[in-house]
Amino acid sequence: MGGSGGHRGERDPFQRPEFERVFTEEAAYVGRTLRYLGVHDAHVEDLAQEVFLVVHRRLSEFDGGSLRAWVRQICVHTASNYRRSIRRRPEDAVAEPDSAIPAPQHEEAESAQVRGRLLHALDALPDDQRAVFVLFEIEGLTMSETAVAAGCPLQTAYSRLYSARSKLQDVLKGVSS
Amino acid sequence: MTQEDPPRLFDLEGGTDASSELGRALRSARADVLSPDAIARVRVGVAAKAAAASPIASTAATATKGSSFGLLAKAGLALVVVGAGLGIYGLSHREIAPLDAHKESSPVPAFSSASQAPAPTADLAIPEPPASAPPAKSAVPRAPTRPAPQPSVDAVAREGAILLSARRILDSDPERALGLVKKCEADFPDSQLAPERARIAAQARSRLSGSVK
Repeated sequence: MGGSGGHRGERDPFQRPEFERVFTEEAAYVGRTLRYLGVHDAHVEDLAQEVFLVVHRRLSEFDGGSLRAWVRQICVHTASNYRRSIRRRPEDAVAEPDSAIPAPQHEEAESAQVRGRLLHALDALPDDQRAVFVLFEIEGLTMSETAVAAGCPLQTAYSRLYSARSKLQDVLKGVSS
Repeated sequence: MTQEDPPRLFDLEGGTDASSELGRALRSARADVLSPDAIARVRVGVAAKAAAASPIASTAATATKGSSFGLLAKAGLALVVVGAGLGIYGLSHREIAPLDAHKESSPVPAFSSASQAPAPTADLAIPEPPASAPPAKSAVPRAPTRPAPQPSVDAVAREGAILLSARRILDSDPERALGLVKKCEADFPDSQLAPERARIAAQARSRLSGSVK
């Protein structure tokens, strides 16, 4: 997706058809991925902007392959930096409500609560385990793709997945008992 | 390496209580997090920050004349010039704690360039915006026809978001797109985005006339 140069001086990224397409196709995905990678609901839009600014800057360097995988890597890095900074300054963290994703109406209220519990449980995981779990279990990647996106060897990805599962089940057991 | 993937919890049935809970949660976790409105706000924010980071941003007001997306650059410039700390989306939906922490440590992935710096992160803490039309030395009776040459950031951002929505539905629903443009004309009569409105309106009319034939 080479296009017309670096585009660093371009004012409006949406003038580039390829960027417009990436945004249109991936915006919802980016939001969901950031959220489950540990970005608070209140900060997802902000971080999504950061992701797409990186995409804008680096799109001309994208060398083919899976665009989504490339975007996903940017999400993983962005969320990881965010979580690190929140840990350094916990006073900036936003209190996580039971159900971080607003529940629309009656039938969906329960599943929103379940999602809220999942998010809460995910917060108990180390970043590397959380990333592998989210990519494999929520995003539905293969383990090979997960390992690439998480930037670790395949066996390490397996190990992180099993650790994450085990911890999550413990956390959820604690919640339900 | 042909190692088979383990079964996903999503697909497991009849596990322990906890894994069932996990499976249920995972099934419902594929719902979208960003609403269409939120995506539109992200879009405006990206355009604004990209405009701010552009080395030629200062000349954007004239250079964007022919751009079909000039409104974004203009909205972005207005946003950044008047106060980078004003969150675009915060304007319209919520007030929450500031995001200083992740801003400070640069949330850009490690492999990204350092050129992120000029684009200030829209802050979720909303400082009180300047009054949309400051009195500006009212003792001097000047500027007869343009009392507020720079519309408030709030207005530009809101109109920019509406025009983005109009543009998005231009192909699928030109009539509604035209309606949105007319609403902008009524709500923001002196807007600097008027040329963009006119452009979108012309495109909408052209599509409508095409569909009539």
